[in-house]
Amino acid sequence: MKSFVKAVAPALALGLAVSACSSKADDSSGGGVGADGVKTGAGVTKDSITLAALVPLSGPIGGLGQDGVAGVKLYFDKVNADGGVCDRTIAIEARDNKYNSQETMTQYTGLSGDVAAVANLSPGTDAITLESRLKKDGLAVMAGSYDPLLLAVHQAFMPGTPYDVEAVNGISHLVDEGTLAKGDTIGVIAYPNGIGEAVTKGVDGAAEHFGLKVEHTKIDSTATDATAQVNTLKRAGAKVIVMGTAGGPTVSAASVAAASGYDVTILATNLLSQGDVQGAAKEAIVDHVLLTSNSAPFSSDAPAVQELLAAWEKQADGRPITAPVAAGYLMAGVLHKALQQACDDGDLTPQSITDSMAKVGKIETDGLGVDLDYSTPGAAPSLASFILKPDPAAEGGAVIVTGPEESDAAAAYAESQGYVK
Amino acid sequence: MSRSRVLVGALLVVLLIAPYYLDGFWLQLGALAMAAGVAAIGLTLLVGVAGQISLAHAVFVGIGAYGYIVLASDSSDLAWGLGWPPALAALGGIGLAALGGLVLSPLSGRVNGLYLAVVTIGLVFIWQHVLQEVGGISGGYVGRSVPELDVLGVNLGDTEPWVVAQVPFGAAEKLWWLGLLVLVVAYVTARNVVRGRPGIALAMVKESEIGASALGIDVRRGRAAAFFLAALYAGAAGVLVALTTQFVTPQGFGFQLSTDYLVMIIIGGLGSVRGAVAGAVFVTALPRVLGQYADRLPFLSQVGEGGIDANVMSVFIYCALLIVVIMFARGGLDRALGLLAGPRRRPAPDRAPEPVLAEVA
Repeated sequence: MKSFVKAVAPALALGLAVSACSSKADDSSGGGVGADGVKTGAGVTKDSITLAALVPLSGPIGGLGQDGVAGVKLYFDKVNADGGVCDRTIAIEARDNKYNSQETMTQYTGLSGDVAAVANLSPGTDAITLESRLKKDGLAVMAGSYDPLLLAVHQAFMPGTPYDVEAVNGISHLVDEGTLAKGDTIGVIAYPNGIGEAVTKGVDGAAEHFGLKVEHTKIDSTATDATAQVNTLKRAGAKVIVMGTAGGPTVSAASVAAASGYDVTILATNLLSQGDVQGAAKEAIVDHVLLTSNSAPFSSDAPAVQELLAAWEKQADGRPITAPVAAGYLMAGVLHKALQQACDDGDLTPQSITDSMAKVGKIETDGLGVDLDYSTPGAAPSLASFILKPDPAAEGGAVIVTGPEESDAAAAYAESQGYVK
Repeated sequence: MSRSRVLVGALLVVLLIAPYYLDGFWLQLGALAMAAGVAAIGLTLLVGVAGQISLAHAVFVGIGAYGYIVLASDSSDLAWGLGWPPALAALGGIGLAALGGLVLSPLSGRVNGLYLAVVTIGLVFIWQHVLQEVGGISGGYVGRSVPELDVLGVNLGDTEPWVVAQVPFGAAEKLWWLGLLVLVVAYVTARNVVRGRPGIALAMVKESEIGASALGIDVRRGRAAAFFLAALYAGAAGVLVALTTQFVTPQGFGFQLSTDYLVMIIIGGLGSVRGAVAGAVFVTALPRVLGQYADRLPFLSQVGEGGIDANVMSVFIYCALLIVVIMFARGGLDRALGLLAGPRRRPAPDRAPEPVLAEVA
């Protein structure tokens, strides 16, 4: 043991002496003022701005993350071709979080000093995990989720209407149409997590507003078979079932309803893929499902949608366009507005980009999605939703019924939840 | 002085001064690897030495993490908290994990081998369900933030940065040192256990229960002790993981984590303490380091263009390396380390030589 100490002690002393001239000692937080008078910070040099994308890139849903990054790049390719922002080209640094919050945290630590903002975070609710770090670093995050809990994180920007408000809009549409009337029963099938809890809250709020009765059921977040839940709700006499789930259980619920001759309308947020709508359950879905959405289906004739489709076709080498591409494209567009505002203010530091989100005012998406407004931190950026109908023949598998529209019930609900400030 | 001692001494010095140079990403990676090392040592005692396959290790790591959080946090509307002093809460978390190990150890008295493995898989799913349903512990699907550690008035978080030799020391640097300290203590203790009488007794139980009984070893007590010790190590690792990530979600302590630990001790060489640490570094650091640098490879496509990009490629490279190590490095990383350390204690260094068995009898 003595010899061990003898060996280690001098080495340790040497080590400590060396460490006194560590490069970390004179670390001056980076940044400065560029030749063009623009203040710069993390991720910004004299000719480039680096943005992060933190999404699952490998594993079972890696493809969706890949498409999300592709959408962001598609938008900024166009911006770069037009001269970039502040005479700087936009670069995207994509990292794989394997759909795991712990991994998001680790990867964020590696990225935070080198990027000016996060253009796509998926799952978006990881922004809650990162909240204290975001505050410290000043970074703005475009969070790919509509979970209302995100509204409390003032550095995370949700690109649409929260899930619960969207459910209220959907129910309001069904009441207007005459499918639902006072005293009717409405069923819920919900995951025990973000989307499930939010949709449940929205349905409860809408039921109170319209005088409906609610029957709650739960479904495990890994389950895709909703037979038991649909049968329970059938016995309870529900006229409408609202899904607080991903696409799988919605397809299952529609199939079960069709097979058992249950005349019910299934209301779900649009997480169905074109494959779902054209698959074996095609007829069941068309007969029973009504969709709500924050973004227009690809069948929309809005100029922004057509522009996106044309740009994708030119670049994608025959790969079909998916919802995450559109989401990434939309989020990049929102962040672009903030970057431009920050550039006009002569300050491209992360905190300034974050603050710019509040300054740009109402953001028109030209029919790509609902219009957004981040002027008030903590308020919902939008209360409007599209109402869509599944259509196997249409591009993207759905067509617009109405919208985007904000129902009176949604406005009242948002007021009661403190989403309007 | 043997070559291995020089190497170990040099390694310790490098690890001690590393926080002066490394940036946040590497510090966090190192701290996670050290935490994984502690957990892997515990598991190798249970699986490698005592011969009981357990896939429930993530449960005990989770109990350590959530135990610390619940004990140290202040209570809120959303989640429970007892507001203990953090140092006490850390010990409490480790204690709870160890207690959990003790409570569940009778399982190993009933079933063996693959049956035990399957039973412990069940434990992981029960644990996940508990976390999902009891929001008071887990904070629901959103997760819970982790309070900073404070030991006798010394803050180990970001609130009171130290300045050591002109270098600012935040949570990342401090936790690197804490992780290193815990790892060294865990390592030395485990080696003493393995080389001492308890380790020999456990190895005997693994080889032949009847033989062990005949030699006067209390088989059931031995197995319970192994479970207890493994859970204790897992609890310590859990506290370290929680402190390092600063935020935990239930999905972080699932089946995947259990299999990761098992992979660590297998590629490290079953039953080898230093192998477990090497395996932990391999499994924790390699995929992330590959992810960081794989984009330098020329033939890969960019993310979003379709085809294989750096992130997907790094998964392939990691898995290929895993197969190569298991197939060709017989005896695992332990053997490779043995060759590096010189010829003196080459074959299975952490297992006691056979003749000592006679002394136990």
